Amino acid sequence: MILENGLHPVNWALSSRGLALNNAPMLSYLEHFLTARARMWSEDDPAGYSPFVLAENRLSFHLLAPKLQECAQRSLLKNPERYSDWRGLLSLRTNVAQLFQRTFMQGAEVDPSSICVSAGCGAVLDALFFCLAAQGDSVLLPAPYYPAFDNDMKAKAQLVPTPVPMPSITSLHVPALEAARQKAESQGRPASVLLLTNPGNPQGTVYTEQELLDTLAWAFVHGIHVISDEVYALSVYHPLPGGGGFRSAALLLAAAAAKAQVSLAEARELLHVVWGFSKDFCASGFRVGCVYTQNTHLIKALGTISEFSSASNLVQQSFAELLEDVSFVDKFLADNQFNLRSAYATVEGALSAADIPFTPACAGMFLHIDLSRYLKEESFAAERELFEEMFNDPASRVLLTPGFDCHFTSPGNYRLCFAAVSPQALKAGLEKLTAFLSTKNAPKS
Amino acid sequence: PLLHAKLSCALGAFPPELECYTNFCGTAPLREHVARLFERTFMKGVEVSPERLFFGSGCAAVLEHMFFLLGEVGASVLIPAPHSVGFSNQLVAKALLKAVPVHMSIPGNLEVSRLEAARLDVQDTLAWAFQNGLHIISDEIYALSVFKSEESFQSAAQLCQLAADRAGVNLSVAEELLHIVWGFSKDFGMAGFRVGCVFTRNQPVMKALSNVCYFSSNSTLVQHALCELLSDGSSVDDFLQQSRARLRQAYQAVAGALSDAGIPFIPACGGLFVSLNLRGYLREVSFSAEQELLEEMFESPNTRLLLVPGQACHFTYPGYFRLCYASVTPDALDCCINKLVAFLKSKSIIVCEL
Repeated sequence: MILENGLHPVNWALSSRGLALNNAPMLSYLEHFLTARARMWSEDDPAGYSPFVLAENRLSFHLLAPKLQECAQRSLLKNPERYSDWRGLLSLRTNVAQLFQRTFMQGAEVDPSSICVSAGCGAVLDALFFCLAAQGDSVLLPAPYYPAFDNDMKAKAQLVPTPVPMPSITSLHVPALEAARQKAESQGRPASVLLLTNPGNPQGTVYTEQELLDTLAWAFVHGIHVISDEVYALSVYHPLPGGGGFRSAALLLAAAAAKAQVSLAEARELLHVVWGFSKDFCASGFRVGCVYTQNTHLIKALGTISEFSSASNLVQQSFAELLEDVSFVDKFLADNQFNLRSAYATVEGALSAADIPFTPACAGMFLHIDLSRYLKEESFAAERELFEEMFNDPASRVLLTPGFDCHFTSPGNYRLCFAAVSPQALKAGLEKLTAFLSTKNAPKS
Repeated sequence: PLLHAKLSCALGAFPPELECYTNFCGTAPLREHVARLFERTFMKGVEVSPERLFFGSGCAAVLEHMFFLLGEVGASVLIPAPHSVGFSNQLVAKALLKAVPVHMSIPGNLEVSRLEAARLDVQDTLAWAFQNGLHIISDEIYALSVFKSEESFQSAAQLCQLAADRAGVNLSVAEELLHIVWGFSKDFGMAGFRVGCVFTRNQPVMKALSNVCYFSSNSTLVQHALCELLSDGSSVDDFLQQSRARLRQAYQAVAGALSDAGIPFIPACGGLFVSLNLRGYLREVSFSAEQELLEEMFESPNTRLLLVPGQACHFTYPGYFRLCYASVTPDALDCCINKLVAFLKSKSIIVCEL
């Protein structure tokens, strides 16, 4: 059928996949963030905004920049303009493998050919979702979790995010996961993937080894792929309970396989660790992320689709060069952790003084705060209202991440990101926030 | 090497906030510079607003997004054949569409010798597509690599109005159906930098791209370096002129040697390659014989040449091979062509003896 103007109406539209993307906004607070960024708090403009909403670390890049500039210049002479391996430059994969072995995967032998590099962790996740699950499958996520995961798995791979609340927001509870798995199965959308974030976002905490082990073993028994997003692995700024540094899920592979009574070979097919330079190296704009997996089929599949999200050779080579200087990197990581620790201390102090409940954190660049007693009523609508008030009120102009977007089960929870502004701006924003909250209607008892 | 100085300069000084999250569709300066580049070169007369340019990690990335947005799973994509080898993976592997090569009487992607005839072909094709409500993706990745001096490449965007008139559709409708892809890989020889873009005036497509571009976003460092490169219009024009001159030289060296040796080929006027017609050297007229010849050229100790077999490009008939002459130095090219000619001469002698 051809219309009067000579056009066939059906062909003219987007595909159903394209149309679906027109209906879903990426993040509910993106517009607010753009407004805030256009007018940030400063000493000259104390009425500016305090965006505590985005998990970006801007505390330490100045320590990295000169070195990275040097590395970029050197990289220019190494033919970055030529086509190369879609899975990532060997130089980068090798040096990242060594970084892992030296830090959060100490004790493991990390083969560079088990690493695939992409243009940021979002790209890595999209590729993993495409390869590991069928359209319409569920992905189990311990809740609360990082808001953008929903879009990461829906936008292209068209998977179903399935939040799994736990008895406490900082723990993993296998019975909860099992119940969710069964429910998803019965609803015809089998759970093919479990997506863990460790250290966790928005909590800023780290799972215990025991609960991680139990979770991995459970997943292996059911043949569920586990993506362990360890993008904050090197941003742990407080000693962990139990001592020792942060340890990757990769180090628990053998123990979990034994516990699940599956072969090591099978377990290797099921565990995939995601990491990138955005958080730990304060380099969000550079777009370099990777996955470490011993699943050779997966690596092969990723090789086929990597050309759709490949990181620039120039940037890859620059980071490869950077990682060569081990003592520089170790010092940078330590300095960055110190900066995160100081920022956290500022937040902790301000919240404690104002008697605002929060979950103590030890990693990442954010923490969870509980503002439920300031809600007009116990509802997510009231939570959103408070979010807008904190943003719009000239005395406050503070932007927090609403708990609803993070999939908290009860209203009134927010994520406060503390590393995207200077220490001075952080202090000022916190003062405004606590002052604003103290003037709200008397807290409910 | 022609670009090193400018790039090095850009890398020497990081602008503030380089490390921050930014617009995943492309930074404002890069969109601005590329929009102006288009308006100055192969899209003269077309209004290219920067917000209509969406960037990704290479043209492969933007093509894959476009295929995903425009086609249902299993939908067909018509591609004039022969065509670039990469398309098959780009529309099948992740977007899950179906490639349907449409054989032309004159080879397509590998350049017809008369651009005027091509222009009319494109206009006719656009008009036909508009009438049938088909989205058209015009991959113009070699737009600035046309080296035949009296010709200059015209984007499909420039032919849109005429084609819309011919098809009897509104220009606004036509503009919603036509999407142009371009990147830095070929025209600037920067394939490893992974920067490509799509120019589209279709609002729903733009909205969808503003989401999915996040999954293939360019590094701020690279975008900054490219802006530095593009900021000086006259030095860009110089570079493009020099680049085209080198391409022309390389092509002429190949064309001359082939002509002298009596080896047929399809004359080209741009791009980085030439199609050889080696049908006369096949054992028999079949694609398996073509594959045999390919492997012989590769394995033969004095030759060791790797060409792209015509089957991979979807030529209708066996015996065509694509030779890319721009990926080696001029000296190496000379050497390779001599080896090729020697190899083929020896083959034809064998054929005659049979």
